[in-house]
Amino acid sequence: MSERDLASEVHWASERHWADRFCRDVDDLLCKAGRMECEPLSAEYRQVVGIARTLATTDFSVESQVRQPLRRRLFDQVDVPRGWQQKAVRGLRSLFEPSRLTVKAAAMILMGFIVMSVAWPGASSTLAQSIRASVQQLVLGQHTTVTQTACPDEQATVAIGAHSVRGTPVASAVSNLAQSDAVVADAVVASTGGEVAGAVAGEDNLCIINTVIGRFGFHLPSESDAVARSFSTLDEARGVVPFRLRQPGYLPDGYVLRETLVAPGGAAFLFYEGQKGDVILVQISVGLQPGDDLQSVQATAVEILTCGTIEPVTLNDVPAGWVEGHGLMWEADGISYTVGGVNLSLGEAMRIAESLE
Amino acid sequence: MQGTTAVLPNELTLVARARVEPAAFAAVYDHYFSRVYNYVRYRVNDAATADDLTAQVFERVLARIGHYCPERAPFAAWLFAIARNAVSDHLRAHKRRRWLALDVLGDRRSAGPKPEEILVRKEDHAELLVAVACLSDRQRNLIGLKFGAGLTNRRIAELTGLSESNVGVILYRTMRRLRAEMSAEECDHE
Repeated sequence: MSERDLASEVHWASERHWADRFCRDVDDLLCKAGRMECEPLSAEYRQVVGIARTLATTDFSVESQVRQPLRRRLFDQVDVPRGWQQKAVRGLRSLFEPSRLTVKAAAMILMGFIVMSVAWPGASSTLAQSIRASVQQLVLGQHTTVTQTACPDEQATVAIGAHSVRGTPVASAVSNLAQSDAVVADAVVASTGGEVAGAVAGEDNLCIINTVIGRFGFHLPSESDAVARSFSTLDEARGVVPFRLRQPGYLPDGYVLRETLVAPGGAAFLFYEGQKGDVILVQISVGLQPGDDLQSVQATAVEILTCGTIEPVTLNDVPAGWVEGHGLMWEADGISYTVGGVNLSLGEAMRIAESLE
Repeated sequence: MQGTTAVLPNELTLVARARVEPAAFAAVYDHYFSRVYNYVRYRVNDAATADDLTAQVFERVLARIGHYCPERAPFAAWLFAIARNAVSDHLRAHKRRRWLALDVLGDRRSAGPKPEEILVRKEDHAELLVAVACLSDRQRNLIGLKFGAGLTNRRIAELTGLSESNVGVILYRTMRRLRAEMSAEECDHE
């Protein structure tokens, strides 16, 4: 087919499209004006058109809570490069021009920094650490992530990989039982050293375990029981945990195992009691679990949102993270571990972690 | 959603300036917010998730708008490709079970509208959304692109890889299924 024929074909197809549309619209006009006998339509067809009209005129966005806040936030993010870049270039250039006010100001700042460093040796590193700490995200393994956010009093949404986690971060310790908007905590299923609350609402079951190092929540598959089981010995717990439960070879003086809590979904909480308060060892099987329905579950993951400080450390040659008020976290052999306690130092936590057997 | 599918005057100019000119971005945002939100809302089951995803979509749009190439696709098609990917990412990620430590499960009740407002809105939209929730993800995507985003069948075909006529047929079948679901709900209430 020649180019001219092709152009003609395209033109013809376009003309036919508009001619069809014009005929339909004119028929519709004549029908509505009573000037033409309308094609009889089935009740079902009329209902379908009615639903389409409803869909086309329904505006769900009136429910949106983010329209204006998001607008303001994005508005502030729009760059205005002309003025900004020119100012930046001017600022840099002026810095190197002699006898300018900026040189004097820079010299004063430098002097102040030197004085501060001499008078308070740790100040500069503290300042640097606080800046670094406000933007950190630690990926401790394929399924264990710690994310820091700088909004202690607000809801926060943090992107973790391809998805996001939303919640209220806290610096440390346990506060009252919080609820997601989809959850009504009306069914406490067990009460132990690690307080357990189970809740059922909507499509999900939610198991929440309150401990002195924070609250652990787990959405269970539909129709599962949000029941955690308590054991006084480790051997009993090992009988029901679907992975090799490890225990510390080292504990601070006087500490003994009080209770092991096995939560649904492959998680175990070991509570050791002693003079300085509980030391808790959490072990959660992550990744795909035996029996997971691949259609509905991709993996089990441990994700932490905190506005406390987080510090990357290395434990047995794997990346680990020290989360203020929570504990030492790392992932190894498909298990996500946490060792924590209210009065537990990083050094003690490392020693306990290194002794796991 | 009335009026939201109207053409944005000087759209290409506004889009070209949106990365550097707040007023231009605001015009694009105001024009497309409802369409994006409605598209997302047809695909997910709750308003809070729709809010989160809509925010993600516009953040991505702002970040990438400098790379938008008008010769390759109309702006609406480009924008809704981003929206579709954001929803798909979310639906995939939703298949992850998560242990959320500390206060990730925060109290969101105070941030929402008043209970009486929620009730009125829910009554307005509940029947429709319950019926939409019965559809498959592909059907919800088409409903969202057609009635939420207000795209033509041709644009939907380009986005989904279906033929234009196939889009029409699937949409019609979907609407019939929706009608059946809504009729069943009425029967349940009676």
